[in-house]
Amino acid sequence: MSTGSPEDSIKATVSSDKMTATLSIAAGADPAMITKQLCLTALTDANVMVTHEIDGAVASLVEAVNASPGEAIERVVATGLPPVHGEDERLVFEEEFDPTTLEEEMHERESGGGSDFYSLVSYRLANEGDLIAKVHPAVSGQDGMTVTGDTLAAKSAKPLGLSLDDSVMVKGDGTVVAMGDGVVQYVKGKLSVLPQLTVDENVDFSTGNIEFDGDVLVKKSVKDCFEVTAARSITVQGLVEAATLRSGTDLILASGMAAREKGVIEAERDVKARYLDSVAGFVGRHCEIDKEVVNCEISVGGRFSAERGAIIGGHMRLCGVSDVGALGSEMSAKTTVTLGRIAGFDVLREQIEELSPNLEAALEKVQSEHEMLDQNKGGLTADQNERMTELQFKVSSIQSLLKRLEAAQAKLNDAEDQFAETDLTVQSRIHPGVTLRLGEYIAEFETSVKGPVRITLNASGRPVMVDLVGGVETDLRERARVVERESHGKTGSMAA
Amino acid sequence: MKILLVDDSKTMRKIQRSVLTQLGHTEIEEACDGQDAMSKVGAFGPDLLLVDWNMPNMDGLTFVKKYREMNKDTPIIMVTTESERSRVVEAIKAGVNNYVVKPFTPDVLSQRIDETLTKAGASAG
Repeated sequence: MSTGSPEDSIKATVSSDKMTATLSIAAGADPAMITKQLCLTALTDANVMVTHEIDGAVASLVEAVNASPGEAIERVVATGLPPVHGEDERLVFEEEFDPTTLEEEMHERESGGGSDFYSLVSYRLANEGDLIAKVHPAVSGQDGMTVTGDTLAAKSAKPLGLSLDDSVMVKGDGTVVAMGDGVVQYVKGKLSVLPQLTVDENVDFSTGNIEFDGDVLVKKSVKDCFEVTAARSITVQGLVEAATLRSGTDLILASGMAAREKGVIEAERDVKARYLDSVAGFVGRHCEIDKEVVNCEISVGGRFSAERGAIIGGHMRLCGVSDVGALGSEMSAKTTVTLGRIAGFDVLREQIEELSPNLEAALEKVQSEHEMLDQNKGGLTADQNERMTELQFKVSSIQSLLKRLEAAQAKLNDAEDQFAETDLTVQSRIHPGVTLRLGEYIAEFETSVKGPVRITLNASGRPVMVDLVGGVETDLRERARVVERESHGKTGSMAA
Repeated sequence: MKILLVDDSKTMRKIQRSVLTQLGHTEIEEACDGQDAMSKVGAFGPDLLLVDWNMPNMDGLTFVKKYREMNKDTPIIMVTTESERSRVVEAIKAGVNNYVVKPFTPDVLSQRIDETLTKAGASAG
């Protein structure tokens, strides 16, 4: 047995992070000299804070020394308490509404290959009542302590600093609900569902097609083959190429549209554009163009205005009062303008005109079979009786359809009479090559006519031209070759 | 109002359904013969039945007799052919409220349905 002093036999050490205290009993130490008190003294000398737990651990160590006298023993007798850090308040989005993952998702899809790039989505849409996220509250932390009694401060939980507006609401359970339809946006701690979708860049492969239930603002251009559809207005500040734009209300094309015969615009209300080139479509109400409308096939339901511009080439259908700088071009571009006809109605009329003869032919066929069976009415078999019933039902159905078609046609005519205006003012010049369709007449301009002039139908339905400087009204046939629609290309000029 | 169409001809059922739809009826069930109808009346609980006379498995007259054993009030219109006209009295005795002879026009069928429902309503009132 060692005969050294207790200080030589008992050694207390503290780890560098002060989270453990270890007692070492030297080999050969006399068990009689290894007492609990001496051990606790060694620990106290090493600045270890003696607690009830340490007291027990030391007692256990002393027992072990007595059980194995002379053996070297080393034991951790004290352990510090690490701090429990607070959990910050956080916002967890539902996956489909998470705007923070958009960039990553776009990147994955772009690099994945085989995707429909036109259908890429660069925004998250929510509908009213959608649960878009949940706020998880902050959880406060708990400080820790070293074996020497030093406090280890826990990190405090930070509030999210979430800022909300009226477009979202946080419920009692922390769920965040959209209060209206729109784009989910989370920028600098502010969460909102915006009724306007703003596209800061071009609508192209980086954004995919845009389809939105509110207003859409495109700050740059809409590139070839892309589509922008909005339940409300669409505003494009840059150039629109051969794209498709469908607006539930207004369409504003600040820089114009150059569509190379592949562009489409559909606006339920008004259109304002710098210029339109090779565009097809319709405008539900008024259309205002700053410069030219070139090679377009557009129907305008209300007023058309291009006072300082021109209609060159194509076929414009203008239903309301119209005012244009010039018609046609010096190069005699073939330009057709139909006045006072609602284009959509023409399509319906054509459908009715196609359908009526088909129905009449079907009716004749059914009636013929019916008559044959009817001649032998008394001696019909059960099957023939059923066939007769079936034929009578068909006759009744077809007659009912024909009546409805007739009524629809009458309604179309009434509506057109009520809403369509045959009234066009040309400010500067009508060039050769221009064809005007108005009422039942077609006027072809073979020579140039100087403006300002107004072309309309007079009280008796005849096409006339009014010189807006002198106020003189002349029959349009004095300035153009005028034919009636039915006889167009067959019988020549209109009779006086 | 719930209406059950009992006819083995799909075409006839289609015609009847179309006329009834035009009259504003939308709760319509179909059965392809008397037996099929017997299996459906309980769950469907019709307020009017249009029943063809000649059908496989169970003809219209047999169906009417069986149906009347459990339901005396719901109006029934029998759809017959000219050759069965002489047996109409037998059908009425069995509990048929009205009848329509094939071939019939949609207007005639509509008129018969209106008549029958008016009478049934009056007697119920």
